[in-house]
Amino acid sequence: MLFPTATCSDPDAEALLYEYLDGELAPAREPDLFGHLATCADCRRQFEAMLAFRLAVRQEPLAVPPALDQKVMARLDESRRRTHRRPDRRADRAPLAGALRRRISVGAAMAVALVAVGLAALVPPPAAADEPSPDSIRLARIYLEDGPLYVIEKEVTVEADRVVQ
Amino acid sequence: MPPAPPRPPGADPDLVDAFRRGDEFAFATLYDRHKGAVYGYAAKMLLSKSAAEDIVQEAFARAYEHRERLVSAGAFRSWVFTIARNQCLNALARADREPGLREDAPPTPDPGTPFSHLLKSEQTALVHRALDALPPDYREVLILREYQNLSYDDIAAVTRSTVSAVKSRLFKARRKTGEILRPWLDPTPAAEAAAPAASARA
Repeated sequence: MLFPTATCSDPDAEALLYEYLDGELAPAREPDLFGHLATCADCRRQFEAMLAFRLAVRQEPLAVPPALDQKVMARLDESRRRTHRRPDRRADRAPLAGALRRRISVGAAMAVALVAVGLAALVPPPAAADEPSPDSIRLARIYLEDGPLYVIEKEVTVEADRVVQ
Repeated sequence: MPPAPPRPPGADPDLVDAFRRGDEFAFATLYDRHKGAVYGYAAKMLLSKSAAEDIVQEAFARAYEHRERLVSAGAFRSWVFTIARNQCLNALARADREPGLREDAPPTPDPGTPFSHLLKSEQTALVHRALDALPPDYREVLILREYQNLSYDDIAAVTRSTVSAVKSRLFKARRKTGEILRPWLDPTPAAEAAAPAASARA
């Protein structure tokens, strides 16, 4: 038992007392309670204790301090600024992800992939040797009639050995 | 079945709906309406007004930030209470781990003085002592009943328990409270002799 000290030997009567205090006792049970109170000094004292406790609770000032209102409003302002600054990436992605999940079946996705592979096989490969690669923007070769071969890179120009054409 | 009575203007559900549509003033009204109950609950649960201020800030900030989690617009009060309750239980667990976080209890008056003759601050100190002597789950039901005036059904909903469990906890909490207060209610020599023992157990 958590609280070993008993006040009344009849716990049912004590339970009636508390229900009465809480306004939850059926009127038909009130004569039982009042009859018990008339003969039990322990329950009368407990009744008095609960009324004193309730009186003290009612009188206790528990008003919210005005400074708290300011703190809460400042906190909400901060939260609002944070929310507006940070984009909701999950919400942004959700419509696309949902559309993909809902509208494209596995079979359709495989068919699209197969068509793409087939088209890639039909297209001839590019002539790689003479086509300028993106690197050619940076690297250029200048061939002279009988002179040296210059290899020109961006911001760097060097004389190289002549190669047999 | 008779039609449901119309909602009074400015009821919680209307304010929650307005807030969800972006009306910030609606949330300020909800805060004004419920801050006192949340503050009172937290102040008595933690027996600290400064800690209660932190709980109120946190509870309303979370409600503001996670407004989409409130399923029923009519349940705003119980939702904020649930957030505050979880915060309080976490704070109590932290205080158990770190006793240095607990505030000192106010001094209690001499047992020989009748309760009705005590100053209000002294009566408040006795209430503090009585609540401090209770485990959190017993203290909670007593606070919800005596400070918030909730019914057994409402207390069961807030604490996520049954009405019979609420009655049982309330019974034991009140018995212990009566035991602590009795020396000041019946200042007879026998009661005064019992006071040190009650103080030691508290």
